[in-house]
Parts: sequence; structure tokens; C-alpha cells
Amino acid sequence: MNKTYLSLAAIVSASFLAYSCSCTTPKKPVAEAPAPVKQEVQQQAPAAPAPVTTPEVSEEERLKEIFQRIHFNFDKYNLTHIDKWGINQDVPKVLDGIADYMAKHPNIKIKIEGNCDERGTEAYNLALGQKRADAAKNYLVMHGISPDRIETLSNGKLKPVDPAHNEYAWAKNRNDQFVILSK
Amino acid sequence: MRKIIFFFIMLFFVYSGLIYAQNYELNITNPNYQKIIINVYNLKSSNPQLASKVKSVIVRDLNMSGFYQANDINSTINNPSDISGCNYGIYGSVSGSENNVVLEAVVYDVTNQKIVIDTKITANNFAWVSHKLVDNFMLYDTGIYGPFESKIIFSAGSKNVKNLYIADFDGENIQQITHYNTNLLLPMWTTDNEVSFTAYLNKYPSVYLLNLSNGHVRSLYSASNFSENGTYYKNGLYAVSINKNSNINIFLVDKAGNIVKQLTNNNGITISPYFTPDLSKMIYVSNSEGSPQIYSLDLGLGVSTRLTYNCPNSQSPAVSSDGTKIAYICAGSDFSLNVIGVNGGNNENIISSYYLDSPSWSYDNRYVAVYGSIDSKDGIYIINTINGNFSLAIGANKLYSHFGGLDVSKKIN
Repeated sequence: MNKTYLSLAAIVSASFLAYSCSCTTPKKPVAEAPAPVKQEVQQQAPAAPAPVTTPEVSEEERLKEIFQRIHFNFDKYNLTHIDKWGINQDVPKVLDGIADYMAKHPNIKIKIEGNCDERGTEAYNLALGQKRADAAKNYLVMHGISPDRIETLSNGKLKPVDPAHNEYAWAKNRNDQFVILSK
Repeated sequence: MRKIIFFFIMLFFVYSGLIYAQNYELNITNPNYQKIIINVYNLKSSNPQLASKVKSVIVRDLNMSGFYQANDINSTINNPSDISGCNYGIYGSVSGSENNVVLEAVVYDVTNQKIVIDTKITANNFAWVSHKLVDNFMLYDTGIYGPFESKIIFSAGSKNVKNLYIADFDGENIQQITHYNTNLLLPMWTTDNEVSFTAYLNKYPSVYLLNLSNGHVRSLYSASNFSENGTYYKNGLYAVSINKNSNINIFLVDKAGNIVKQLTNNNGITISPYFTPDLSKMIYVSNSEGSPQIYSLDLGLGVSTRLTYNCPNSQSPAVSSDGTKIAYICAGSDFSLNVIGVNGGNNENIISSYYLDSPSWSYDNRYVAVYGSIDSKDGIYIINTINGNFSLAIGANKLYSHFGGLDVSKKIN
């Protein structure tokens, strides 16, 4: 009897341990993602409400990693490796990941929102944000994604990630945000 | 004895040199930096509240001009010979009502002991009679009529919601004219009765026209996911910056939203069109050579010329109403307001600060209104480009902590 209880306890403990490990296993570090930048994905109109289960959270996290914000140098909209002011990101590599995911999920539609830091006039930053969004869209289209699946929008400098007034904040605020419109 | 004589001779030369140096220094000092002192006395009236408001705007406008130091004197004057301790004295009376204000004012030149202005001004609000008096005084004193009979349209609100407001040039009489729940930016006067603006009223930033008489708003151009600026050209045509094929260029658009002509054809960003008063040139911003710079397009020849070389990020040009000067913003870690000749050259830095945007000239070609942050105070500033003096016309407050553009009207009769 004791043996049975002990076996049962051992199995339960092992299962619990295994479950705990699976939940707390550190995610694979994304080398190109800058550590200080909080990555996020806005989702509009999710396909269907689903109960919160472990796999769904996992998918959410995976989408966050894939559709992370990409960053730009000051007054630029070319897609390149950024390694300055706390941002270390291989932008083309991130876009390759997005293109791969969209190729495998032909129903997904996205909106790319171009953002700027505050070091420019209102009129120029509105235009710059549009160029940043278009640059990412054109890259994805060049990699086989239909332009009909991608909208672009400029926020200019209206939606900063970091409201501080320093180089680190400005670097974070020069970005494209990817919003999933439909899956 | 010789040594003593030599000593006195040397002392004479040193003294003469000092006297000469003082004279020379006086000669090169810009007289505009020496503010003229004006005492403004209480205005007699059966409506002391109204008279007090008229007086306070006179003081405000004189100080805002950057040429004068106006002292608000809390006493009345019966005899001009009683005025002292200043260059000019202003006194008089106010009658009428809030909607029909009559100002009878006298300006007395203390130095020459004579009355230089004796006038009766009528207007439909207290601020306007004051503006007219100050503008007339500036005409007498400087030879150029003052800038205060104009209106500023400006965008203001919070980070996420900005609406349009109209105020007098000095910041008096602020009126909110739109009530949207989104960002309305970059307002521009197109005619006396219409303004354009860029807004997120639909999905994307687009240019709209607002009729000030009936409040009607309509889209000027919506066939692109990006358009901004709505600068009036002529014959019902507007210059609009439009995104086409991932390049933003300037197009002429009619009131129905049809593209009539493409004015620029650059890769990258080409925005902020501004026409010279004779409509022979369009001044604009382009980053076609790498960084944003100011260019001039000869509309007859179709040839563009780069005008700015002194600033790595030259943006937001505005042409003076006499067509001789361009004010623009040099953006970067710090911002500055610069002025160049309409054909380039003679670059002059007027003021530098943490942030400056949307320069717009007054009709008298001496002042530029900008919004931004100067000495850590956000708001709309009036900057005297002759001597660099500046005044806060509209300060940020609870109603509007953020600004999104401005434009100064022509003189309003």
C-alpha cells in the first residue's frame, strides 16, 4: 500500500516537475532582438475566441517574437543591422522571419505602422513614418508576400514607445510596429 | 621731467583710445536692442472693466513686439506734460460696449514734447482696438505697420487628440473650431474663409478642407494611404504631398480631389510646398540628396535649386509675404529657427531651442510665429527676426499640452 502511495506520489511529483519545467523553460533568446525593447504585437479581430491554454499562450509568444518591432537609424528608412543606443537587431533577418510565417499562413493580413522619434518636425516625421512602413512592406513583397495582405500607416511621432527625451528613447521610438489584422 | 611728460602723453593716448572705443561701440550697437520705454496709463471709461482689458492688450502687444518695454501705469493722465520717465506715453478713453468698442487714444512723444497720434478706433471686440492702436504706433515709430491685425490657426490638445483653434496674433481671443477625437495637424490658411489640415479622420493621414463659415469639413485627397499639406496655389488648386509608389511627392490637386499636375518627381520624401507671393516659385523640402534640405522650384522653367547647406536637417520652410525671405527649422538634437534669402544665401540663425516647428511669417515680414519649447516652456511664440526677441503668445495648459502646427493669416481688415 505504502509502495503504491509512494509510486503515485513519485509519478505526480515527476509530472508536476515536468510541467513546471516546460512552463519555466527560458525561451530561446532572440539574438537580433534588443534586450531593453519590449516587443509587442497588437492583434485586431482574433479569428476565434479560444480558452486560455498553454499552447495558445505559446503561439502568442511566438507571434510576438516573429512580429517584433524593427528599428531604424536616425532619419533613415533603410533596412539594416542596427547596433546603437541599446538596440541590437538584424532587421532583414526579422523581416525574413515575418515573410516565412506569412508564406506559411496565407490568410494572415498585417498592418505596418511606421514610427519616428521626436527629433524632426511634424510634417517631416509623418512622411518619414510612411517611408519606414513602406520599406518593410516592399521587403516582404519582394520576398513573395502579396501586397494585398499588407497595409501601411504612418504615426509620425505621435506614438512613442518611450516618452523620455534621450538617445536611448529616440532609438526605441524609430520603429515599424506590425499589427496582425486577421489570421 | 622728460619721463613725466612722456607719461602724460601716453596717458592722453590711452584715454583717447578709450573714448574712441566707446564711440565705436555705440555706433555698431543695433538700436533695436535698446527697447523704447512706453508708459500706458489707465483709460477713462464708464466701463472700467472694458477699459482695463483694452489697456492690458495694448501693453501686451507693445511688449510682444520686441521693440518696446511697456509699463502698465495705474493712474490717469489729464495733461500730457505730466508724462515723464519714458519715451512715449499712451492715454485716452474707452466707450461703447463689448461688441462695439470705441478707443480714443493719444500717443505723446515725451522727448519732443508733442502728440504724435490722436486717433479714434472702433472695432467689435476689445482686443482689436488695441491691436489697431499698436499697429498704427509701430507704423509711426518704425515706418512699417504692425503685425497684430491677423489670426493664427493652430493645432493643439493632448498627445492623442488635437483640434484646431483660432487666436489673434498675440494669443488673445482663442476659439476652438473643431471637436474631433483624433489628431488634426498642420493647419494652413488657404483663403480668408477656409483652412486645410492633415488628419486621421478616416484610416490614414489625409488632407481636409474646413469651411470656416459653415464648419463643413471635406476630404481634399483620399486616393492614397498618405497625404499631407494643403497649400493653396491658385484657381481652386492646392499643392498636396502624396505617397505614390512608395515615394512622397508634391502634386497639384483640384477641389474635387483630382490630380491636375505632378510638381516634383523625386525618390524619397518631398513635402511642405510653399509658394512665393508672385507664384513664380515653389519652396519645398526634399531628402533626395540624402538629408532633408530646402529647395526652390522655378514653376516657369521647371528647374529646382537647392537653397540650404548650413544645416543637416532643414525642414518646414515658410516664405515671407513680401517674397524676399524664407524661415525654416534646422532640426536635430537641438532645433533652430533660421532665415535665408528666397534665392538662398544670407543664412541667419534667429533663435535656437529644445524644439521649434511650423514657422509662419506675419504680414509685416518682421515676425515669425512658431510652436515649440523655449526656456522649458511649451507654447506658441512670436519671434522678432530683427532683434531675436521673443514672447510666449499661447502657453501650453491643461486644455492643450501638445501642439501640432500653426499658420498666420494675412492682415484682416
